[in-house]
Amino acid sequence: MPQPEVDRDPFFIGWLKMPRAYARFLAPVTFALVAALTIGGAVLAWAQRSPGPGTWDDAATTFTGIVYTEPYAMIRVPPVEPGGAPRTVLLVEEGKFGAKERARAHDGQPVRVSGTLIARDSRLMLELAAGEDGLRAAELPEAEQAALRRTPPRGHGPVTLRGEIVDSKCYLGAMKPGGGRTHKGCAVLCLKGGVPPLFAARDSGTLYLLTNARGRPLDPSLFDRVGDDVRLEGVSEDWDDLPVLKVSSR
Amino acid sequence: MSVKYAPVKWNRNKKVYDLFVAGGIVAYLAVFLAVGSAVWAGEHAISFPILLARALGTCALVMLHIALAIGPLARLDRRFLPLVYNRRHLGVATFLVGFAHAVVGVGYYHGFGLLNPLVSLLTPPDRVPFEWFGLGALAILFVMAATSHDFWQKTLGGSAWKWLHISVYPAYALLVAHVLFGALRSETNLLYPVVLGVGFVALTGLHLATGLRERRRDEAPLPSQPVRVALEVAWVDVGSVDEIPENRAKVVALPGRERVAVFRHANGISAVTNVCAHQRGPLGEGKIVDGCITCPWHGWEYRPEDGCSPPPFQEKIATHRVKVVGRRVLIDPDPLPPGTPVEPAKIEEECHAAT
Ligand code: FES
Repeated sequence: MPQPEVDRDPFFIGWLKMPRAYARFLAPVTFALVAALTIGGAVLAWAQRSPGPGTWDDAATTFTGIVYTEPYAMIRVPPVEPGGAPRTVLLVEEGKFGAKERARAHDGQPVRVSGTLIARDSRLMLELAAGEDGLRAAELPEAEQAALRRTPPRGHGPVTLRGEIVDSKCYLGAMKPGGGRTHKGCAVLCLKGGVPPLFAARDSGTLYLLTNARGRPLDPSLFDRVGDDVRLEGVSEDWDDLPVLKVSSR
Repeated sequence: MSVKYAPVKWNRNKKVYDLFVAGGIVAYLAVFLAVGSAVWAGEHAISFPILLARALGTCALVMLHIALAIGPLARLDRRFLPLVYNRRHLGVATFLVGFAHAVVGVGYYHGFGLLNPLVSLLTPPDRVPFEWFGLGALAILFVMAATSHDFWQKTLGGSAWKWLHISVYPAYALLVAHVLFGALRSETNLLYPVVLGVGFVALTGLHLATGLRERRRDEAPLPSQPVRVALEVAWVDVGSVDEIPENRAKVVALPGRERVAVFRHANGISAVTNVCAHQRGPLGEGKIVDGCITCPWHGWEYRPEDGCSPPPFQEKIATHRVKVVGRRVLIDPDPLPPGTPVEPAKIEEECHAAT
């Protein structure tokens, strides 16, 4: 006879073998739990929001054009196809830093820049390679220089827009998703480090470069609002191919 | 119940348990990462560190739910008790996964900038950032994990340790806030708030159900109103010996006092506190095995006749004076100092002379 008492009143003690009644109950329960969790993980992963279409190239890209440092570092480079309009490429450093310091000595001059290309839709950015390779003075015929120079802004008048302030580097593709509340800490750090701020307008989807009312760098007091759903008042302008919002209020 | 502390005393049950925990974590992370990078690929790919942080964060939250559910489940059905046995390892693992989430998240979001990542994290902006809630929860889980060993339980004393470990509930609340003000403000899919809500309702429901059951049991145990028999001690009638199965106990709630576990064994009745000296496990849900009351949680043992652990162990629990009058069990509601010997009350033979 097996011990009938053990069967009638099983009792689990950690360092002894688990009674059969417990094992028979727990084995399917734990297997089902692990299976459910795995399926749950798949569903949670599947339900994530799209991070947007940004890309960050592995290979190096080189441009020659005219560099500007106000309000932020950017370079005007030739069109992809002859006859097209020149393109504006924002410039940043490695990590969470703008490239204004490095570009300052060349403001308004022809330079050759090299680094990795970050792009979202048609908005372009270059993360400069370290040292001379990243940015150096270049020769450019006067006629080509003239074609690349900034033209006077075209104003569209006052606007009030709802959307999100983002840091351009992450949002354009360095970090994906590069916006939203969870990314806020990172975006604040980027903006403090001189990465140009953009404004992703909610209705039109337009990406504006943000400046203060005089077209100078954005007031740092607005950095804390990055990642939030905000309403900005200002004047909308086009600086060549770059939509700009000159913010007049928070 | 060790006299000497070892980091972990392994046995088969613990190994199987940890295997399930580790296997579950690995399976969850692998599936999350695989699905996350398959669904969002190419130019819409989610950055790997972000995907990893999300996998780790959701994993830790799920683990905390399980750790919090085990206790009430075991009260409702004792076949869940083996999950309580090694719950400490689940808690430590939860902390470690949560910590990995924090390291990846803080490193990526707050690194590479002009501030040290921790300075960046702790610089107060105009509103309390969601990260701080997570940090608070992690700090609590850290202290709990660090003090989960019996050594600390002993060093801190039972009630300090107990309060420390009840702080897992504030930690859970902080984590809910962390998700509410962080991920849920960024994600648009309704699934996330629904899952968080279901988890909250399930945990609350389980705890309420257990609480109510315990309440009902506490209020109902004494068949006759607690009749105080006028004797030298204020004896309380706690029921009939026939209600107590051999080697098991009846748990009696006395107003304003700790519950008492009244055991029947070897044709006698012994009464001890219901609270285990280890982690306050419910001794009355234990069993007498090899002559010792054995706690249902981690198997600490006490002799029913004096509340002492068998040598070489030195743990002691409070005993109660007890006597049997006819078939009624009477106990003295005032506990004796831990380890006080009390002669078990003999149960008189059922069949008196039928004449
Ligand atoms: S609570 Fe751990 S053995 Fe009783």
